[in-house]
Order: sequence, then structure tokens, then C-alpha cells
Amino acid sequence: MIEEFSSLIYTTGFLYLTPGMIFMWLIGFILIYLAIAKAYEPLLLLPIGFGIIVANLPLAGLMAPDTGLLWKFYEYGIHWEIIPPLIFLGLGALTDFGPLLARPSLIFLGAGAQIGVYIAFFSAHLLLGFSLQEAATIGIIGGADGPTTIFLASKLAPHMLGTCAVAAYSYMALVPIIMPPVMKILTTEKERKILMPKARKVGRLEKTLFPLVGVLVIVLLVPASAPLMSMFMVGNLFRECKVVERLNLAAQNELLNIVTIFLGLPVGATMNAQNFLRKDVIFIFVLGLFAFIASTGTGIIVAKGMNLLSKTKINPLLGAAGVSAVPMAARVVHKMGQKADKKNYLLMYAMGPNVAGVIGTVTAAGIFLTMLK
Amino acid sequence: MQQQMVAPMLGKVIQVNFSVGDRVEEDDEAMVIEAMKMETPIFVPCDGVVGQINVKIGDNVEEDDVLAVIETE
Amino acid sequence: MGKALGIFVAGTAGVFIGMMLLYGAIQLTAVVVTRWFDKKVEK
Repeated sequence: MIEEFSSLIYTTGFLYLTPGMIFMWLIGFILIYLAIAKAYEPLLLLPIGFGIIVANLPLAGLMAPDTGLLWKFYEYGIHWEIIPPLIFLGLGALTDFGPLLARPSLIFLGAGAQIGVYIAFFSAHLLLGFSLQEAATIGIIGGADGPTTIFLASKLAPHMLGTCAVAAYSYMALVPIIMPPVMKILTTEKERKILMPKARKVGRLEKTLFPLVGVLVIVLLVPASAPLMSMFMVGNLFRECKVVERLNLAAQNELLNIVTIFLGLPVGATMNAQNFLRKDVIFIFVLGLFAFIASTGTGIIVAKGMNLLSKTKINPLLGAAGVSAVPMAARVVHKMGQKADKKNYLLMYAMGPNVAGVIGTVTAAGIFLTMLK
Repeated sequence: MQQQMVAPMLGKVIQVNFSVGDRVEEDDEAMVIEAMKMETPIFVPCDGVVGQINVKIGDNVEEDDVLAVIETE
Repeated sequence: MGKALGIFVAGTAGVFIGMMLLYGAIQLTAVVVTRWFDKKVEK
């Protein structure tokens, strides 16, 4: 009888705990705390935090290859490229391209912000010795796009996926803190007061044609972006065509919510002590922050550049909205504009570069993938 | 003389700070609209008396919708 | 160093070219739609 009992004890996880695992629980608890108490991107950080905790439980085998539950979510959801594109389907259905179509030149602000991604990529590789693939994954954090970061990481640097995702979502939550100082330094009070000219009304036909046109252009140019971009655009088509409201609503609500659940858990589960407790991780977080800051800066600089070349001036704060944290970045731009002039209502204008930035980030990720796979 | 107070952007009216007949001054905070989970105040365009209010709390407005009319002497 | 720089340049160029093409496509669509609507109104 003693034998049975002692062998039972050996099946418990307690005996196999390591300090590393307990440390990872702490990380998980912190993320869950931030999600609940501070409302930091709770839709992602809560399941990620939980995934971290349960993946660091010995003998539970949730991430055991072929058999683990969370391993299966990861393998069939993320590695098989299913979940991130489905998230984009939902995002496309939620996105209104009207403000961009009303003033198409704003699209270049979405491009400008991606320069920051490449600067971070370059720095990560040259200054800190990350491999090209790792550097690209770190750089794309500056794109402020969770699913794209996860997608790229799963293809180029899966061992960093969890860390990069946590960095990306954390900094997205911190956009109201990260972006204003950069915006203040790079713009003058006078520039911030610039009022945007009235936007033209965009018709339903244009908004319906855009996803078709967009998917053709981008996927022909960067075929590697196809999984994300095609799903994004079909979601947008669902929204704009007005004849598939059931599909549109499902994409925006049920589908998006369901796949978000299946995204967060496995992402967190990839963060075990081996992956996370390395000095690389600090560098990743620092570089990720740098990428965000750089992207904010390059977006604004491109806006200022555009002002030099055209008669109608745009408010350079809009450049910061090229960082595709939708709609947080647009909100931050709006608030800054209101601070300079309380009659300045930049929100809808800022949505233009904000959504263009999503296309920009997916394009940049596709290019990285094309050149580094 | 009348002056229209128009919506500067689309959103939902969540607060109305005056009533018909109130005396108002330019730049008083007249209403608050909400868009993208953010509240934005709308200001009175000129001194005068509130002649007409066209919206109530909960209404969705588009850019350039006339929210209220201010009578100036 | 070379490869990283190459990717930096090619990547930035790629994103901008993509956006330029998209910009052109949007403008083209807008023009076509306006023409089409005008034609419809005229009829």
C-alpha cells in the first residue's frame, strides 16, 4: 500500500517544479493583473497570461508535442496559419476605410510608420546581434499589430513568439503614454493646430470596390502577405457590400471573439522558462519599445515631408496614427490635436492613416517573409 | 441672426449641457459626443441664446449635422 | 551588414511602392465611380 501511495506522490507535479516555472507563473500573474486591474489589452493579455501559467506546470503536458492540448491549439491554429488570418477577417469587417478613401494621400503616413519597423530591424541585427529572422520579428512589433507579429514570428522565429506578442500587446496598451512625448518633440505648436480640410463623402460603391482593388494590388506585389491581406479584405467586403450582414456580423463578433480565445492561450503557452529567461528577452522588450517610438517618429516625419511638397498642409500629428494600433493611436492623435486647439477634431482624419498602417504592416511583414524565409 | 452649431465629426450624443432659452457664451461646452469610445466636447460657436436643439442624448450624428441653433442679438 | 541593409532598403521601398500603387488604384476607382455615376445621372 505504501508503494501505491508513494508512486501516486511521484505523479504529482510538485516534485518537478523548478524556480524557472514559478518565475513564469509570476509573469503570467502580472499580465493577468495588468489585464484586469489596468485594462491593458485584456482580450489578449488575459489568455496569454493564463497560457503562460498552465504551460509552466510540470507533467501537465499541455505543450507536449502531438498530445498537448495547447500544443494542438498552437500547431493547428498558429503554425498552420489559421488563427491570425481569421483574426484579420474579423478586423477587416470592423474596419471603415472611408476616412482613408476620402483623403488617399494619408496612405503614405501608413507607409511612413513602417520605416520605424525597418530601423528597429536594422538595429536589432547590427547592434544586438539578433539573426535577420529574429530582428524582423522584433522590428514588426513596431507595426503595433498583434496578429501580424504572431504570424511573422511563427514563420521566422517561433521561439520568440510569446515574448514578441507580449511586447506588442503591452506597448499597444501603452500607446497613450509612449506616443505623446514623441509627438511633442517632433511637432511645433503651430503644426499641431493645423485644421484638416473637410473630408469628402465617400460613396458605398467606392467602399465596396476598395477591398477588391486593395487585395489585387497588395497580393500581386507581395504574394507572401496573401493569407493576412486576403482575409482582411474579404472581411471588409462583407462589411461594405451590405448584402451579407449575417456574415459581416458573425465576422465582427462571434468569429473574432472565438479566434481571439484560441490566439491568446497558445501564444502564452509558448512562453516556458527556457524561452523566456534569457537576456535576449530584455533586449526584445527594449527594441520593441524602440520600434514603437521609431514608427511614431517616422510617421510624423513623413507627414512633415508631405507638407513640404504640397500646398494643402496636413496636421503632422496624423503621421503618428500610421502606427496601426487601431483606434488607440487615432485617439491619442485626436487628444493631442484638441490640446493644441480645442476646436481641432482629428479623430476621423486620424483613422485614415491608422487603417492604412494595418495594410502597411502586413505588407512589411510579407516583404520580410519573402526575403527571409 | 442665427448661428448653427454643427457636429464636427460623427458620433453619439451623450451629454447636452444646455436647454432652449439658455444664454450661452462662445466656447462654452455645449455637448459631448462619443466616437471610438472617446468623448469629445463640442463648443458653442458664438454668444447668444439657445433657439433650438435638434438632438437628444443617444442620437447618432454625422459630420455637419446641425445640432443646435443659437440666436444672436 | 549588407543583407540587412538590402532588406531595409528593399523593404521600405516595397512598402512605399505598394502604397503608391494602392493610392493610384484608389484614385482611379474614385474617378471611374464618379464618371459612372455621372453617366447614370445623365441618363
